[in-house]
Amino acid sequence: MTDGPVLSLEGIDKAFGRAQVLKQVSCAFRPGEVHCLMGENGAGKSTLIRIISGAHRADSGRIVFDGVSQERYTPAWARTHGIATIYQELDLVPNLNAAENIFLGREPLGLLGRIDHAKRRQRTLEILASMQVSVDIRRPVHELGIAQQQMVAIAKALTVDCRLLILDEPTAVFTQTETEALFALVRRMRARGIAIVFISHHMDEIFAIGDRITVLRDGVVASTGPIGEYDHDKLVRHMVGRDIAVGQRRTVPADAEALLEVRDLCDGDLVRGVTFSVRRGEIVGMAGLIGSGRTETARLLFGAARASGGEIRLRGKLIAPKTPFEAVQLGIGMVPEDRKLDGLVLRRTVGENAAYTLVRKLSRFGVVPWRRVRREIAGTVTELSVRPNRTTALVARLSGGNQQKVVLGRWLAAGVDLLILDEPTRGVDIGARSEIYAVIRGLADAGLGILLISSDLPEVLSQSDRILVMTKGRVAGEIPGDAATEENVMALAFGQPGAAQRAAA
Amino acid sequence: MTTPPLRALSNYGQVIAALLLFAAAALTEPAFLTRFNLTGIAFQYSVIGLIALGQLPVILTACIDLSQGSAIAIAAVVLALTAPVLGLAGASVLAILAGGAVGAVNGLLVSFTRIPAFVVTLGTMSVGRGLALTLSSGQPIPVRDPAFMNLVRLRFFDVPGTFLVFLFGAGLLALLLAQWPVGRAVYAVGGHEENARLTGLNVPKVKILVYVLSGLTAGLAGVLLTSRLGTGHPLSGTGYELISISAVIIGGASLFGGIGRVSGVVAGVLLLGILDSMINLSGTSPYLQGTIKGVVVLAALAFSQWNLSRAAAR
Amino acid sequence: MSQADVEPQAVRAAERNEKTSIRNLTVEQVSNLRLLALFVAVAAIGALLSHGVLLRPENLSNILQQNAVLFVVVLAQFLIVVSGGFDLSVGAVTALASVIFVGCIDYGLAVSIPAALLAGLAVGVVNGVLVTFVRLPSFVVTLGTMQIGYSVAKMWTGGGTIQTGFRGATLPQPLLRFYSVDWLHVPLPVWLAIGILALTALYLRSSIGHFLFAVGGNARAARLAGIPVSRVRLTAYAVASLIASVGGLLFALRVGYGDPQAGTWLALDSIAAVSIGGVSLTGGEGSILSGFLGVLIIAMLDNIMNLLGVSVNAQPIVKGVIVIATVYIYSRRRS
Repeated sequence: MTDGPVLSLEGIDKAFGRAQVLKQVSCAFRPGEVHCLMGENGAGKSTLIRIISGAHRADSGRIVFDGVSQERYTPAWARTHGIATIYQELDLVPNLNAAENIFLGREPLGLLGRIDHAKRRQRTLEILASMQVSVDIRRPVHELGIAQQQMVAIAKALTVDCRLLILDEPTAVFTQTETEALFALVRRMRARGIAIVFISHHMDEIFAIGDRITVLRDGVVASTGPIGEYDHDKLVRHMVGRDIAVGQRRTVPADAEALLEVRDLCDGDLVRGVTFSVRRGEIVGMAGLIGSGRTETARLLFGAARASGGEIRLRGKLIAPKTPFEAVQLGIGMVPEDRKLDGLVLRRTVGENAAYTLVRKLSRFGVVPWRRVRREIAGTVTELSVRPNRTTALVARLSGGNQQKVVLGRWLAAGVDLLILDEPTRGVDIGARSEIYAVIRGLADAGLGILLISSDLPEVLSQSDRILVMTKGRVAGEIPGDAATEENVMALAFGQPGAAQRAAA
Repeated sequence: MTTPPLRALSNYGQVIAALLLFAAAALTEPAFLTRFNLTGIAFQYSVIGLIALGQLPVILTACIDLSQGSAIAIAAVVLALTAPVLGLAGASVLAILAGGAVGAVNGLLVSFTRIPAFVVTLGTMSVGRGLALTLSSGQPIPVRDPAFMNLVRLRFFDVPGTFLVFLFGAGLLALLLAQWPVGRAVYAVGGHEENARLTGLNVPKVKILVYVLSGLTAGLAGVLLTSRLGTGHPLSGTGYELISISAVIIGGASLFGGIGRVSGVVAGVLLLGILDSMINLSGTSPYLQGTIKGVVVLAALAFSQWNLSRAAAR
Repeated sequence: MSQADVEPQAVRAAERNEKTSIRNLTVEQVSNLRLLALFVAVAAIGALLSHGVLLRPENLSNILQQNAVLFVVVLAQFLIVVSGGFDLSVGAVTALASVIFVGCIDYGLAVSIPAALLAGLAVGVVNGVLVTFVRLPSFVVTLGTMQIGYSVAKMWTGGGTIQTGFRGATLPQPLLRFYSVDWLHVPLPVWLAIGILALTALYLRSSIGHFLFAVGGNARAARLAGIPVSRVRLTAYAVASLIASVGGLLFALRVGYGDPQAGTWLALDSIAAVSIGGVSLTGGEGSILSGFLGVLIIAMLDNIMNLLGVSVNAQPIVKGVIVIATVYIYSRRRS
């Protein structure tokens, strides 16, 4: 084995439609090195690893494996040459046990083509032993914890001679001990000369495990170098630094009526005592890393999940919505994170999708005043300038931004008091974005309280009157909109309260 | 973590239920443990058992086969029609292959079109029945060969031969599913088709295989029914697919695929047979059967659902 | 669910319809030109092959009359398919309703009709509860209730048909003429089917019926839009079985007795009809009139084959091939 990189990327470009996702990205992955990829959401990390795994094809640039440029770089080629990717969605079959999964389709065979169970078991134990992890190999993997499942997926990757292992946010849902076990494994693999690409949002993890860092920002390599050259502040500075157009922020007087008051809201490991409030006419931004419990908190407020503890007050009254149906009745609306899966009925029309709440509101004993519904929805669609401006267009045909306007229109029509927006502009183009921001501000001006959850830091900073930062299931801190900067929000999100207080002061 | 005895109880619950029901029947119905009664159940439920064994791998891959009853009829008619030309042995083989051909058509359609398995086999169920009726002109065709008709009445140590065939088939299938790579492939395709494909399994091949197997068992069932009746009847096997699906579900298999075992299916078949016999012997309306079977199917399903959600909560 | 799942035909249909009528918000437009073309083609070819007999008024009237039960039952199947499931129990509900209708006839129509309908409703509620709250697949649930329904009907009659109630009353004579009377050249049972169609369309325009399309199309999104998903599903199952029991009344009026074996073919034929009608078998899409058209196509095919002297034995072959072929064509169109 030479000391040269296992794989290097040279001048990679990648665009989806008009959106240039990667621009002239170059980096090299060396044997026995843990290479950390960092960057905000949307910086291009996932696209980059999909190119490494062969799932996406670069528009231009070279992929060099063992010093040889590869023209036909496919997922199958990558796999057979020892490039393994462990995505957050593991490629395991849930009803089979660890040994069955690891050797699925490649079982060691004995007499008459029979599976050699003893050999399979022994080789499984060998691999797991070499990883120094213990997994119950008799149980179907869906009965194992998520961390153990990940170990099985890694073991599966190790059965072929693994040269490069990509771990895509492996620790997002791990506990501390699980993370430590994974790190021990990563270090052992590093010692065996495997090149490792490690993606994480948690800075302490990067510093604990990384040898080299590449920071992506807006699809370009913002900075790269050995870990020793970096500290927290430097990393954050490289990651952020996008232009932020500040919206018309306002400070809602502290004595304004509190619309929503949440105290010690809990649900399992993900939401561990969340306390905050939203006043009428106020846009409260909620920032934090993926897995910090923001979406889960929203689902509790909206009755899509049941809280295990804590209290929610709406207009001063204690509420405990058990279903979204009840939440809507109480005056709460939510724009969910995954528009296609949770937001829209794609095979129905724009008008129908926008009208669900209105139909409910206007119908009496099941009788729907269709003429009025139609008129009001046509008005809403025009008001939001949904294109095409037709209630009968199929919603699946619309662009992401227009689809999102349809979901927003639903809550405009419903007449709710509190609107929760979970990643409202994900996958939305710039033009529609500013339209959506204007709608949100308009709703706040009309007296609604808005809870804006977003992983897009510039969005939270520019739109919010007040910013809550969540870490590990708790509100780590609160920053007034004017005082918030990318640095102090990120610092809070990464769990450094000291830095944030300095910045806020 | 479930302790071993508890785990065995939940894995073999159907077997235990079948044994308990058998004991209950033997204790309460004096006529139950008679040779006449047991032979009757053994024959009828061996035939159903065979196609249930064929249905199990199909359901394990999260598909379904509604065409089994029609494949039985095709086999019966093919056997009766070709017996004068090919002789009974040759005709029987051809009949079983005819059943397999129905399965092959199902498998190809399910694998290579995007038509749901339910609709494909609903269609071939109709086509198959039509073919059987057309080939036979709608009339039962006699197969008057005493040797052939006695075949099904053979006994070994007083156990009906057909029942042994069923048990042998069950053993074979259990071995295949547990010991050969194709068995793991069947469970993998049903457990997570996409990941099975990503791992490199040939998903269409697996699906065609399970459907052909299902068709072959239906062909064999058709031969046995013909031997028993002495005629190849174009309406034989009507509704059998629903009984085989019921047996598989009572046996603890999940319609969503990936979960189910041969022992459960055997127990499910026996449960249905014993229930059937108890109702007959008890002198209540024979038509109560449908109600009881329906309730048992729904209860078994509700139970497995409850089990699943409990497992998920753990 | 991806964009690829959505039917481009429906997109074009919706976009063609620039004039926004109220119905666009409620029920899918029946602008499925292919279905109409298929219908016209079958009618034209049938007319040619049968030397015009197919389209003679008395023949058409016969086709309609003979299939009145299926016309009603397909409405029930339509609702369940739109909700994303299958209902195998429609035939059993029909049989059970026909038996109870005749079996209770001594108490008068005021009792026997509601009794028959209530029995159907009960089956529907059981289906709905098991599918909605126990979360069992509709296919097996209705397979179970199908067995139970047939078995209860058989227990009631002792296995055979039932001509009289407890005390020997039979169906009143005037009612038995129901099938032989025409109004505006259309047989009365067909008018009844059309009436049920209108009522079903009304149900689909009520809020809870309208939401059925959302629930069948994407239950998660429907729930997060504040739609009471369980209530919508449960109601659909109840309404469907209620409609199927009306089919049972019609059946009894046609033959003059109740039959626990009635409608053994109804479940499959109604599924075939909705799939030929182009109703998406994955739920959330479809127009109620296309189900009706699907029955008409099946009925005409049956009739053409009879007119041409095609053996009854071969007819299932044609039907099976058509079901597979149409679903194949629709599934390709979607991709």
